[in-house]
Amino acid sequence: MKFTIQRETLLKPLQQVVGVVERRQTLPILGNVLLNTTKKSLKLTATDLEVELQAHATVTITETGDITLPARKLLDICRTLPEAADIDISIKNERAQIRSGKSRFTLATMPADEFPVVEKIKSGRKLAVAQNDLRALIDRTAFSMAQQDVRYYLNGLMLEADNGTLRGVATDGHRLALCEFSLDTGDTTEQQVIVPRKGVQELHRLLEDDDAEVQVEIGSNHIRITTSALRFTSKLIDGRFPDYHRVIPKGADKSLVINREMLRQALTRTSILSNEKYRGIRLDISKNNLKIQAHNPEQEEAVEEIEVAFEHEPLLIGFNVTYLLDVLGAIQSPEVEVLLSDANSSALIHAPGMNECRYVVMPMRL
Amino acid sequence: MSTMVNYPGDPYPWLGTHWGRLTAAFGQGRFPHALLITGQPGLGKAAFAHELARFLMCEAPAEGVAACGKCTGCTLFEAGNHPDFFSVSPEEDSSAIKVDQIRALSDRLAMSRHGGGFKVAILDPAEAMNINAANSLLKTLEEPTDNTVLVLVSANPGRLPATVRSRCQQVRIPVPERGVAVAWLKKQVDAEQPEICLSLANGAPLLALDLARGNAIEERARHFQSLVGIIQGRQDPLALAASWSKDEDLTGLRWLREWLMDLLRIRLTGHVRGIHGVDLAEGLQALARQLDCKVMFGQLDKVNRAIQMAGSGINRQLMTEDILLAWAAGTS
Repeated sequence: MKFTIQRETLLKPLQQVVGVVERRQTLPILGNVLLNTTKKSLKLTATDLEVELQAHATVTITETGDITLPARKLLDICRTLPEAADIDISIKNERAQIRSGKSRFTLATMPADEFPVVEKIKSGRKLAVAQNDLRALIDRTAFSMAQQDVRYYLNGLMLEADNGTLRGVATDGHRLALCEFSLDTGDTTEQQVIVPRKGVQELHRLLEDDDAEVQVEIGSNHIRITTSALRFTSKLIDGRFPDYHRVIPKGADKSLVINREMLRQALTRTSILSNEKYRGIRLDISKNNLKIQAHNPEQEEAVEEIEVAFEHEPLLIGFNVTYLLDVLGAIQSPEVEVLLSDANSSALIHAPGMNECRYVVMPMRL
Repeated sequence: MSTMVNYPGDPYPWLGTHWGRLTAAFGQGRFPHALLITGQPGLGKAAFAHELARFLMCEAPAEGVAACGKCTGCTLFEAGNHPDFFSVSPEEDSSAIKVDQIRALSDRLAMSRHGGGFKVAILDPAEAMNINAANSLLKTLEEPTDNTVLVLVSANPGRLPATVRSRCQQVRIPVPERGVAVAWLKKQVDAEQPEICLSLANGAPLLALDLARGNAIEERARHFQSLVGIIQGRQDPLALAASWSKDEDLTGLRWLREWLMDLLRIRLTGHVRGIHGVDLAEGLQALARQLDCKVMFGQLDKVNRAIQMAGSGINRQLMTEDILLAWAAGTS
């Protein structure tokens, strides 16, 4: 393998993929970045076995070949070379020669075929979506994912494609977030996968806030998202996601409509005096009035009253205030509607008149 | 051996039947999700487990009985980089498999597989799991994700909790027939006394090979002569204790224990048939005549206790001196 590349052309894709290389690897080769070349292009791939990133650069390759090189060392060399420098890379006797001006480096290599790269996504469904749609879906659901739960299938975001909708659901067993948007595709194959927490976070990092189209491939073992600059591949969680339909309350008909920002501020203030561990608050709802109460083991107390739209029998119900605040942070509309049935049933929260995003929060017994 | 199945490369002919049985089960789609491979040390259990992993991760097993060695799965496995292969053993500075190692394994097994083969985890030696580790493995062991095989390797399955044992299908590797083992040994090494090495290794071929390759027989003779030397007053017991106690494995004491048992056997039965130390039969027989049974029983107890306590930070040199002084006194 042999080619000459300008520093900036190599640096940008290299920086994009090196993020997934862990500082301490279980396998030595995971500290390396894979270089694949064709006549006109260079592909760079890095992985930590859970998430794989691939970026590419357009460059004329004198002699094609594939090899892996120590990722961080290569990055540090490129970064510290002078701007706009030309870098010559060639492989000789299992060693990589890197030359630029009067600098010369020799790097150890490992063979490309020993690098665990995900080639093709098996039995995949392909869709095209706007990247800000996908980003919003993660924004509005990912906070509900479980963290290191023994129910390993909860430690991720469930993505489901069916009947022209793409839906994301996350739950930790106490609360649930669901968000969906419609796809303009004729493909109605149903497919459900769970993307692990780390993959979700990494994906969110690299999606940008514009409506450029990205390709999504959902397979049985991997999910792959291809943007113009990057190819992101994540493993999936090998499990069955719980039947979330049964968690969304059907009989909740007591509607409470309230200004979102006002409620958020009142809850934030009240939460100061809630039990630091359990974060419980009490909602005392009567005709057009909401009283929020919290007290802690030191017998300190906080009370807030807000005017709301509520036309039902009075109701007293407790919640974990963190869960409510998370939901209010994820909803965008000026008002929110909380649907309740009784003190022992979950609340359904959404923006009034909009059903794309729904949140379920279980009550607390106080 | 008539029903020989070509265990890849056939390094250990006595494993062929087991290999055949497991690959046949694989062909019929009823491969167990958890295996417990048991048998005394030196039979090739670990190599067998490894070969099994290679086979299960191969994307196109040749004739359904051996890994092809060419596909992506095989290449990655060969390089030690297969993302679907997990090997769990005690960490460097520890003798136990800890709960965090098992939790990490369960987390990684919960992820979808990388390639087209199985996810395989080998736990060797499985009995090294401490109680917390074993308990945290139970859930994974009972209901692993699809296409997952857990292979537990243990020379002491009795030390595993019953809850772990009952969740695995056990594969017992027996001691091979003597003829097979001797023939194999002769092929491996130009040893003068393969039969003696095999006897010393309790019939385990790999252990016998280690003995034959190292100069174990001469070492044994040297140790034995030193002991005889103490009795004859030619050897200083304290000097010998100083040299023996340098060895962390307590080889000298372990051999002394074995010889004490042999000496007692000879004393009680009157002949050398059935003794363990066949390489030293003559010397043992001569020595047995000079020793008193009761004293030997006392010394055997002492050596057993010493070996048991050895791991507990006891001063090895003092302990060895105590035993060798008793040895010198017991015969005069």
